[in-house]
Order: sequence, then C-alpha cells, then structure tokens
Amino acid sequence: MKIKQCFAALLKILTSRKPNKKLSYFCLLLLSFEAHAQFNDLNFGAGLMNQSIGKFQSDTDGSRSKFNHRLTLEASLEYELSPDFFLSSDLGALWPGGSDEEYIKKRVFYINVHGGVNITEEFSLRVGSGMTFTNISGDGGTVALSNGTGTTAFIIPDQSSTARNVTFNVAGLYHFDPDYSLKLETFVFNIINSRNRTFNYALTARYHFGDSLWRD
Amino acid sequence: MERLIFIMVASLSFSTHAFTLNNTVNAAFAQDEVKVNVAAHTCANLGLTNDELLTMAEEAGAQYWNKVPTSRVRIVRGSIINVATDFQTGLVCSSTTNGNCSVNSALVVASDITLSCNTNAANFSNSTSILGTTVPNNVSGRTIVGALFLLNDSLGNSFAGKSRSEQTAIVAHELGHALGLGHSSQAYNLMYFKSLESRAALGPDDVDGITYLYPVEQPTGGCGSIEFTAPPSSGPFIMTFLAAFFLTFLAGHWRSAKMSAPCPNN
Repeated sequence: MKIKQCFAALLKILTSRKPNKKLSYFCLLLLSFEAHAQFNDLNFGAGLMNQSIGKFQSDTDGSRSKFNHRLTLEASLEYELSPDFFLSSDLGALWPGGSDEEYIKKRVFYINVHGGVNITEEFSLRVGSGMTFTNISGDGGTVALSNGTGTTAFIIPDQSSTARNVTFNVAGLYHFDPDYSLKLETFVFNIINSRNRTFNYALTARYHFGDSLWRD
Repeated sequence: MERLIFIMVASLSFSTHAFTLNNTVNAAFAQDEVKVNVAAHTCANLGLTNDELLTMAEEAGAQYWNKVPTSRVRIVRGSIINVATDFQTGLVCSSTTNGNCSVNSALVVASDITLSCNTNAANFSNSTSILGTTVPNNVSGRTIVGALFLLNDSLGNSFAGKSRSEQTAIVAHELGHALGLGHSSQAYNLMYFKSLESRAALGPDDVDGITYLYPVEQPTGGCGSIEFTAPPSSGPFIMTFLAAFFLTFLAGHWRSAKMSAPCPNN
C-alpha cells in the first residue's frame, strides 16, 4: 500500500462510524516510517531454527539434539546509517511452538536489534542483541502416567509462564538478487555463563520489499 | 532455492512431548538457589557415605538442572544435617488416598531439599527396584518451602548395583520431583518413570517443565544466570565475540575509506 493511499484510507477510517482499529494502527505505523526517510528495507523471512544445539537428549540411546528444527517466521526493518552501515530490527516467532501434546502449549518469540555492515554488494554481516520470550501454558487437569508400579495422576499445568532471555546475535545475509536472500543467524543464550550457555541457529530465506514502501 | 526450501521443510521436527507437575502439589520454590542437604544417617545398604551423596546431588544439579538456559533455578550443595531417626525409618505419607499423599508431619522439611536414606520398604511399594521417592512436603499455597527425597536403602535395593552416572541420573530425577515436576511420557526425558543407562542430559520435556516452573527473567531477574565468578574458560569465548564485533566495524570502516579515497589526477 502506498503512503498516499494509506493516508487517504486512514482519513476514511477515522471519519467512518466503525473504524477498523488494526488497519488504522498499521497505517499510522507506515506514516511514522515516512517521517524517517532512511528506512531502506522491509523484508520477511521463513526458515528453520535449531534450538539448544547438542545440549539436550533427543533419543533413548543418549544422542543429543542436533537437528531439532522448528519453522521460524521473521520480519525485519532496516535503517540505513551510511552506504556501508545500517541498523536492523527483527521480530520473529517459532512455528509450531514446541511441546505439542494437546495439554501443553509452547510459543517462542524474539526481537533483535543488529548493527550491520555491507561487506560486499551481496553479503552483509550483522552483530547485535535481542530478547527471546518462551511462553509455556497448560490446560490444567491431570493425566495418568506410569510410576513404576502402576499409574498415578500427575498434574497438568494450569497457568501461563514466560521466560525472558537476552541473546547475543551474529548473522550473515547473502543476497541472491535484490529481492531474495538467505540469512544464517546464531543466537547465544547466557553468553557470559558457561554453565547454561546455549546456541540457537536459524537459516531463513527472505523476500525484500526494498525501500518501495517509503517512496512516493 | 526451491530445493533448499524443500530440504528445510522436510527436516522439520514435529515430535510430540509434554511434561507434568508433581502428583501431590502444583508449586515451585520461590528462591533461585535450592540447597540439597543430606541427613546424617549411615546408609547401610547403598554403599555410599553422606559426603558421597552430597557430591552426587551436586553433580546431578550441575549435569542436569543447572544447564537450562531458560530457567532461573539452580541446585547447590548443602550440608550434612542432623535429623530425627524417623527420616531413616518412617513413612513419607501417613496415608495415601487415590495417589494423594497425606504428609507425615514427623518428616516435614523446614527448607530446601533434604536427602535421606530410608529403610522403610512401604515408602518404595515394597519393591527393591523402586529407587527413591520424593515429596515436596512443606508447601505454602503454590510455593514449595521444603521437599523430602528418600533413597531406598533397604536390603537388596538395585541402586547400589548401578553405574555412577546412572546413580547421578536417578538422583537428578528425584531432584526434579523435589523441584515440582512430575513424570514425562517419553523415555528420552529424565522425568520418565524408568532409569536409562544411556541417560546423559535432560530431554525437551524436562527443559519445558523447569522453564514453566522457574522462568528466567532477564535482564532484570534471574541473577543466577549472570555470574561474575564464571570459570576462566569463558574468557576467550567473550573475547572472541568482542573481537568479531570490532572486526565487523573495522571491515566497514576500511571499505568506506577505500571507496572515498580520491582518484589520482591524470
């Protein structure tokens, strides 16, 4: 949607009897970006994230999680500081969430801010930090599970709980052409603590809208 | 590109798993550090001293529960404490109805986790293959104040014949109950009801369960996850990342300088 069209749509929404709140927030967001002409890219990515690689047991033979992929979806905004340097912010979510048995739900979201440099025309390197949110909730009730001599009714969680982790991120993005790219990113959890330091890796294929959204 | 996307989608993991909470309480410790104290009894049939049990509990914490990046809880070594002889011979539940334990008030733990050898076979369903039983037996609302972990010290118990690593995993499993977790349905999780010789780390259910009960809240909370007493091995790691950060910007600076260099006059 072009900015002028959006502005017209926003006026119409605001003057209508039943304003569409979501659309008006989106338009206001776009208009606020218009004030900062140096936003130079909006891109969307889909790919796979490998969580806590090699850290946890994934089979009864004792093997560790190496290819525990989850689908990840990501949206990024880039703000050009100079021809070589830029800032990038990502908003991502893992899909499907994780613990998938019907009585446990797990959702993972993340927000990252990177400083980046264009090494060549095709390749850029990004370093930054982010916050990953892990939300786990349950339906409540009980489930019968073995206890060694029979079964016992174990309690299913009945609340929602969210863990927040600060991450250190390093990413490389390679453009195949102006519209498509691949990004490989490492998320380091607890970087200064070897006790529970872990690594997530994400590989995403991305589509770039470029700066067309901010051009009239 | 299409081939790459196909490979990525084909390798997606859709494994099913889920954790549960302890069968007696829906609660967790309030503090980040939970001590494991060992009752000063002689463990006649386990073949372990009190000090060895303390070390094993510490290792169980370090090898399993303390490694979860999304959890704030940390199992730490406590001390050898003097308790009543009931801890060695008494019943953990004064009565049990439909799996619900009515706590024996003589064995209530004042704080943290108390590990005690116990010779009362009724605590272990009169079976030598039931290796331990754990009940958070001092609970206030949804807060565990104290939990009791009894190791089967009856004659002929099968704990003594297991390898050291399996014994550590068994202790870690019982500590999971003390922290508030129940069993998992998948065998590769530590909280599966059965001990595995190949157990080496927590499984995904264990990680999700401990995260649910003890979510870390960085950067403001969960100070246990930021330690300035980190072992020296983390130094080079941090330096590598700092070096990578500065190299990134040096590379950019070098490129800018190269591109803006004046052209030589012809």
